[in-house]
Amino acid sequence: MKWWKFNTIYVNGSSLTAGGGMNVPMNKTEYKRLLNIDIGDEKNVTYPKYIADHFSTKLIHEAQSGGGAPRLIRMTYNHIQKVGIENARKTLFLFEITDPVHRIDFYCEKINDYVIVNVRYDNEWDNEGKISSIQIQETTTEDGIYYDHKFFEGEIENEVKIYLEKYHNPVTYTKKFVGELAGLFSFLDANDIEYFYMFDNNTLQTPFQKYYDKLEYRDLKFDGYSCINQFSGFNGLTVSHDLKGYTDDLHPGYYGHKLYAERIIKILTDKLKPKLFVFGDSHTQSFESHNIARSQWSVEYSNLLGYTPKNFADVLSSELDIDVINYGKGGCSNYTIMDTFLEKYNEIQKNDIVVFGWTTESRFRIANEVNDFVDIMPFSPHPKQNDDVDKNTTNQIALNKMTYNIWWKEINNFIKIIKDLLLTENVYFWTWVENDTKYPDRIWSEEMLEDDRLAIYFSRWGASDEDLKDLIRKNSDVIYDYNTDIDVLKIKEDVSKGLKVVIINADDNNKTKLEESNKIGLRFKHFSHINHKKECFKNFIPYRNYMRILEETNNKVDDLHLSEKGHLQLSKDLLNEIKKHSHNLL
Amino acid sequence: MKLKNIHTIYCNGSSLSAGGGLYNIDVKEIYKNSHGVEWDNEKDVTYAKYISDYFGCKLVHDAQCGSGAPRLIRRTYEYIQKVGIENAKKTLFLFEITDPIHRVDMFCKEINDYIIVNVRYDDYSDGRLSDLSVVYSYSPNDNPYSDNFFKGKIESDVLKYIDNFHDPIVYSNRFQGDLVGLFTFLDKLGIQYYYMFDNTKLKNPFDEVYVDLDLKHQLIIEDDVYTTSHFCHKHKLTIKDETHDYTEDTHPGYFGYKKFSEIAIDFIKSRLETTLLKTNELI
Repeated sequence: MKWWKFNTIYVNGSSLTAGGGMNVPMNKTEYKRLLNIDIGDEKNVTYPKYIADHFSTKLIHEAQSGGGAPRLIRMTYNHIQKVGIENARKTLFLFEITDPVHRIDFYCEKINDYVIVNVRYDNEWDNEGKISSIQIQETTTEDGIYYDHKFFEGEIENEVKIYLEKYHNPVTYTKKFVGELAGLFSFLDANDIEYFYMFDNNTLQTPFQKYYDKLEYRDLKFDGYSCINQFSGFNGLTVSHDLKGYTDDLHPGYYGHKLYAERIIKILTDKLKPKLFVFGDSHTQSFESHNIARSQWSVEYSNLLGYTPKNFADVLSSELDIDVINYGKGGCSNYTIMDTFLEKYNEIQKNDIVVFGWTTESRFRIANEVNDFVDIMPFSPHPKQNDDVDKNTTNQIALNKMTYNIWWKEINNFIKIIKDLLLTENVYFWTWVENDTKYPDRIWSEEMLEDDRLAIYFSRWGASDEDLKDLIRKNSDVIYDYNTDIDVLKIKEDVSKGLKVVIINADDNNKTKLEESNKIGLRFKHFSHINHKKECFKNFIPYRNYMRILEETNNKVDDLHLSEKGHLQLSKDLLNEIKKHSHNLL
Repeated sequence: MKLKNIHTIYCNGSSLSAGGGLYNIDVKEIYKNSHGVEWDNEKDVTYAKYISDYFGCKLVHDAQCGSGAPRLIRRTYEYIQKVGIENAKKTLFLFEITDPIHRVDMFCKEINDYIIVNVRYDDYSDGRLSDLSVVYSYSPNDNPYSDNFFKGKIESDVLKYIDNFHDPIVYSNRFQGDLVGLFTFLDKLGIQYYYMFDNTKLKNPFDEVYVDLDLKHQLIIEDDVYTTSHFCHKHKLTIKDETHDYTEDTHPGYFGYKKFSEIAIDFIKSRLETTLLKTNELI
């Protein structure tokens, strides 16, 4: 189970989780006699043990008969303090929460540790809620010393009872833990610690129902059963059922724990197992799907190999043992990729992994005659996509998109939106488009040249690409530098002579000079030094020219898509990035 | 000036926030005679009152002399339950947190409410309990029970309990998690709050969590000044200082609270959005 990120399962709860009922020696004997089941340590036949075994994970089983929310809260914080936050993040916490009304977490100086005090208020003749009896549970202290019931009987129990009669109110006591339990869950959430819970009843949830509505994901409730006792009770799976009425004990029985564990394992798998979502063009779409669609290049390549190769998404899926949801679409533009994401992002959960394979910036969309978007693949033999739009027009637009790297700013903004919308941080971007930047030949339009008051204000010269500097040099008659002493009137004079004037370092650091130039009536067009393509590539996994089909097949298949080896290279790079960045995986 | 979307200030803490010492009649007399200032309820001359007045907010002043983190945690959750999450989002919470080691929050059936049990262990070298006092409140204001009410039977019961079922260290440790849980709960709900810690004992086990929390929620007054007590000691603005040693009481004085609140107001203004509109126009 490569996706399972936990090395420990920590469990806390009451007898429902601790194997209550199966700890009674007479019941153990009856299990052996009637069902030939050996129950040694009853915790070994409880649902947490089965879950931990299924996921091959170490188990810390701190549930105890009589334990309630107060003990659970205290011990969970203690455990986290003990192991540290980092280790707690590698632990899956499972909580079974019972009403504290009968379950007091009580410190006892005599044993230097807490004991569980179970209180009953069920005197038939009493309507005032007086304590009818108390029982202090057997306890093993943190330093391993065991104290049985008998140790507490008599003096200690009497003192505790007297105290509780005067200084304890079960309703007030319960109320105290409403907030503290919500506080614990908030703490776990805030620190990225994974947990799930089941509530025996909703006493502790009701006052903060609005808060719990948002925690629905954490609830292990299924088929109307919110806790194991309900599941085992309604399905005839209690100790009493197992032992054919030998006892009246209604705790979950041997089979109850086993079957409950099976259901919880499935729920945990559904909730925690990440899915791989991939968005992109033909490089993302699987070879299998290309073959079904009879894409000539894919069919030819598969035929040559003698099998259908896996693309990077298929490789990642089998490497990580997770399902892939592939939204790749051959020939699509980045607009379609983004659009598909916007339609589907709600499917993506906190643990999921998302990979975007951006396509060439030259592709874009127009509407077709049936009022749908259609992606334009420029400079290709594809037919016109709308009778009103000439191929020459779409080619011109595509050329514009390839010539100016400002179009990559758009993709950069898509990435910002994607990151904001996603619950998961496991999102990776790549592209097959080469990472070099090509600049146009000119920076002046005819209209700009006709304007005798217009100069180009270029921002940070020192931070510019050499190619861009060359472009500026080639396209200017005179370059002024705002970082040096300059005469603005001289600039105006040059501009009015019709010279191509570029002012470099015209940025916020030189505000005064900019204002002076404005005052004397100079007009300007701003030219940013930023290489948007370079900036965009910073969001991607490190660029690499992956092997293409043409190269791998020694020109036998004339196609530039990534080959099987290319996809393996890409999946290896992605896997490295996933391992590097995804602390909650692998 | 109003705080945007905040109509209430809720304050919880110990005597350092509740005006401890300023309820004594003789101390009040001194202030009246020497400084010409007087008050009925000492909570009216604490920083929480000045801050709420400045921002035109309703004040829920829940600080109490002798109380510590356990009561603060319990009462804050109770307050949120009472007003509901939506109203809590329109409340600015101010917390002054003291070590629970001497401050036990205990329910008492006799009064059907919680009492404050202050315990001291500093008279004996072996850490034995040396002093215990049980009160509903140390202040005569809003206090239906005289100090004598708890003397005798109740104090003796409590003493027995403390002897047999209480360990100050274990008791303190219990609230380390609960306190950080409260703060993350407030964060999760988008509730605004600032805190000041008298010392770092309650923070230490969760140091790494407090790195982020401190950045957002620590009320910063001055370098190395984290509470009214630190501030008033540093600037000689305790009751003792302000009454020219009439008393040994080193709780924050009248002018200490005033000065402290001025800095706290500036801090809050720098952190929270303010508006000149009336609060009720925004809600």
